[in-house]
Amino acid sequence: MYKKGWAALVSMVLVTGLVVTGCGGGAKTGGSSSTGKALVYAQGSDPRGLDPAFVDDGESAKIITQIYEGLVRFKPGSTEIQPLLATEWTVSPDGKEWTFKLRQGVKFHDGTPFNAHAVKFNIERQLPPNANADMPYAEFTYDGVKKVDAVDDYTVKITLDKPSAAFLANLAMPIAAPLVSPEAAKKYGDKLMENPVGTGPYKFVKWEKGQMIELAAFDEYWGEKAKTKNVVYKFTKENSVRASDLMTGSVDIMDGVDTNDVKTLEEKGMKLIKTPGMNINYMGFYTSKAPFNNLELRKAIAMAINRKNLVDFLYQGNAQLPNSVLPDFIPGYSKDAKYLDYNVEEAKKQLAKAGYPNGFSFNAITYSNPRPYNPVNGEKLAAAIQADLAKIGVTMNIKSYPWKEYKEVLKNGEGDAYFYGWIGDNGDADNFLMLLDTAQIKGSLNSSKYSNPKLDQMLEEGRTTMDPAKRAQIYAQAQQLINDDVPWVPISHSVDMAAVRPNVKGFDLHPTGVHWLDIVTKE
Amino acid sequence: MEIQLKDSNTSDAASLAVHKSPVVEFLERFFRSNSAVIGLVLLLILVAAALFAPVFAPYDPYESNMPNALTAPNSAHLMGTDELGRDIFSRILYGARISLVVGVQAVSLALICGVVLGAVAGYYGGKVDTVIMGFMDVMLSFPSILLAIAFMTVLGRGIDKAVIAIGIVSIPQYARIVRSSVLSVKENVYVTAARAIGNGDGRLIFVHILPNVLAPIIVRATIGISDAILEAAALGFLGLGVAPPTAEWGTMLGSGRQTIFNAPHIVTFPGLAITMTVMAFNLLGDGLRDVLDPRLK
Repeated sequence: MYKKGWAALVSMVLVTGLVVTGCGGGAKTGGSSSTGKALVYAQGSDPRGLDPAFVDDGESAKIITQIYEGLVRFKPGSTEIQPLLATEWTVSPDGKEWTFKLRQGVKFHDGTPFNAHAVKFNIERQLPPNANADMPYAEFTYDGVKKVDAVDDYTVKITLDKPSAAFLANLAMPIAAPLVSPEAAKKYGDKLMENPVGTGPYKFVKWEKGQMIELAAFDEYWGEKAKTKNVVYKFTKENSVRASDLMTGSVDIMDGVDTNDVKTLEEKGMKLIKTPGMNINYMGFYTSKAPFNNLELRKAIAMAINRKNLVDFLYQGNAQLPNSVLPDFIPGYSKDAKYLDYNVEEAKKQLAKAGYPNGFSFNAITYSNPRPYNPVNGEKLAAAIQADLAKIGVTMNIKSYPWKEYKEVLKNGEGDAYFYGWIGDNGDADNFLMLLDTAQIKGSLNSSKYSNPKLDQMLEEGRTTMDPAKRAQIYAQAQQLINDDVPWVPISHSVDMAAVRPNVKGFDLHPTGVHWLDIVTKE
Repeated sequence: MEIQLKDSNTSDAASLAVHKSPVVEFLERFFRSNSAVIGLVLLLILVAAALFAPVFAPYDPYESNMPNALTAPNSAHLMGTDELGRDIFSRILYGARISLVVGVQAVSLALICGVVLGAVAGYYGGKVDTVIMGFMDVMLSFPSILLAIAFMTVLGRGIDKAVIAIGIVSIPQYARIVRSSVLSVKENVYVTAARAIGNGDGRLIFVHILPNVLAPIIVRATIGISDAILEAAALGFLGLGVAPPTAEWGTMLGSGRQTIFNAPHIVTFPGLAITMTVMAFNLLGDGLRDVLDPRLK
C-alpha cells in the first residue's frame, strides 16, 4: 500500500510536469475538468474581439460564427445564400426595398427575445450617426442603407438609396452582419467585445487572453442543439506546434496547416480538410507609369511566368491556377475567361515587340511574411518569378519588407511591380473585381492604378443588376477584359486547409474561412 | 629557446640575420600548434571553394527548376535542391565567397577604426580617453546583433550594408584591446627614448607603439572574422541580409526553416558550412594566440 502510494505520487508529479510542459505557456485547457470532453480547436491567435461590429479579422469571424447568427447565411461549401434568422425575404422590383420575415421563438443567450426591433437596433448602431471609425465593416456591409423599419414584431423592411446586388451576400458575412442582443449591447457597451451575446448554438463561457476561449452549448437554441456540449478555442502561434498538438491529441482540430506539415500529418493518420479559399494571390504592375504603362511589356512578363509550376511545386498543389481574378465557386465566375499562356519563346518575341529586344531590369517590392493567400512568403514567390524572368533576359530586383511596413510602401507606389493578394469578404464577384475599379485608386485598394472606363461601367452595371444570370454575363465580359489588359499576373487561389483527428466527424471548412462546430462530433 | 631569447635581446634589431629569425620562429611554433594547422587547412579549403566556385559548382546557383524542388541529396545533387529547385551544393560554394568577403571586409573596417580610436585613447589618455572609451562602452552595452539589426534597418538590405553594420558594431572590441595594449607599452623606455630624439605623436603611435601591440590584434581579428561571418549569417537568417537570388548561407538557412521537417537538408548544409567556417577561424585564432603569446614562449 505504502509502495503503491509512493508510485502514484511520483507518477502524479510526472504527469503534472508533462501537462504543464505540454501546454507550453501554461494553457490550462488540458487540466480543466469542465473541458474534459471538450472539442478543442487550435488557431493561430486570439480573436481581435467578439462584437461583430468592431472586428475585421478571420480569427474573430470563426468564433463569432459559433456564437452569433445573421439574417441569412452561406450554404456550406459555396457562397450561395440560405435563410437563417430570416425565414424568407422579398425585394421590390426597383431593388431598393428588402422585406425580411423573421424566425419566431428565437432567444438571445441572455434571454432577450429576438424580433424586428433587435434587427433594427443592430443595423442602426452601424449606421450614421451611431457608427464610428472603429467599425471596420459597417460602411461596406450596410452601404446605401437609408432606413430600417420594424413593420411588425417579425417583419423588417430595409430601404436602400440605390439597388445593390451584393446586399444579401453582405448580410451573410461573419462580421458586421451577425446580430447581437440589444440588451447586452446596452449593458456592456465597448465590453461586448469580451462578453458576446448572440442567438447561436454556442454561448460564451470565458476567455483567457492569449490562451483560450471556452464555449458551451446554448440549451434554449431554436434549432437543432449542438452535438458537442463544450468547445474550446486554443491559441497557438506556430503552425508546427499546432500540428504536433494535433498529433499528440491535445487538440482535435487545427487550421492554418503548413503545406510542409501535410505529409507528416497524413502519415500520423490525421484527416486533412481542404476547401478552395476565397482569395487571390497576384503580382501587380503599376499601370500608370513607365515601364509598365506599356501593355505589350506587361504581356511579355505575364507570358514568361510559369504559373502552373508555381501552383504545383512552390505551393505543392495546395492552390488553384486562376484563369482570371475570381475563385471558381463565386457566382459570376467565368470558366471561359482565358489568360495568356506560358511560353518562353513567345515571351521573348513579345518582349522585342514591346521595345525591349535586349531585355531590361525593373524593381519589384514584396512582403516577407506568409499570407493566407500565399502560405510560403512573398519573398520566395518573388524569387521564383525572378528566376523565370531571367530566362527571357529580364532582371527583376526584389526588395522585401515585413508585412506592416509593406502596406505603407505599397501605398506610396514604390518600385515598378508589386506582390499582393486579396481575401474576399462576402463571396460576391464585385468584391474581387472592384479591386481594379478606377474609384478604388484613391483608397489604394487598386494599387496597380489600373483604370479602364469600360470596366468601371461594367462593374457599376453589375452592382445594380438584380438578375443573377444577367450579372454573370456582365462579369464574364469583365473578367476577359481584365485578362486582356494584364494589370495583374494572377498566380494562385490558395486552398484553405484544416486537419482533424481521425475521431472527429462532420467538420468542414467554408470558403470564407469559417466553420460550424455545432454539427461536429468527437467519437 | 632560452638561447634564442637571449640572442634577440642582445642583438641589434636592425641586423639582417636576426631580423629573419622571428619569422622562422613563428613558422616553427605555428606548425607545432595543432589547432592553428587544422584551422589553416579548413580555411584554405574554404578559400579554394570561394575562388574556384564557378569551376567546382555543377549547376548555375541561380537557375531554378521548380519540378525538381526539395529533392533530397542524391548523385545528381550532392546536397539536394531548395524550394525553387536550385542546387544547394552550388549555392554553398558561391555562398562561401559572400561569407568570406563579408568577414574580411567587416573586420578590416572595424580594425581600421578600432585601432585608430584605441591608440588615440590609450596614448593621450585624459579627457580624450574618457570620451572615446565612454562611447565605446555605450556601444558595447548593447548586444552586437541588436545594434547590427538597428543599422541594417536604417541602411536597408545588401551585402555592402551588412559589412558596414557588422563592421561598426565590432569597432569597440578592437578599440579596447588596442587601448589597453598601448597603455602598457607607452611607458616603456624605448618609447620615452623615441620621444626624446624628437619623434612626433603620430610617428610614436604608428611606428613605435603599434607594431609592438600587433599580436593581440591579429588574434582578435582572426576570431573577429568568425564573429562577423556568424553575425552576417544571423542577419541573413532574420531576412535582413542579401536580396534574392544571391546565395548567402544565413539566408538559405532562414528560408529553409519552413521545410525543416520534410526537407531537412535545406537547413543542414548551410548550417554545416557556417559551422565549419566559424570553426576554421576560431581554431586559427586560438592557435595564433598560443604562437604569439610571449608568456608561452
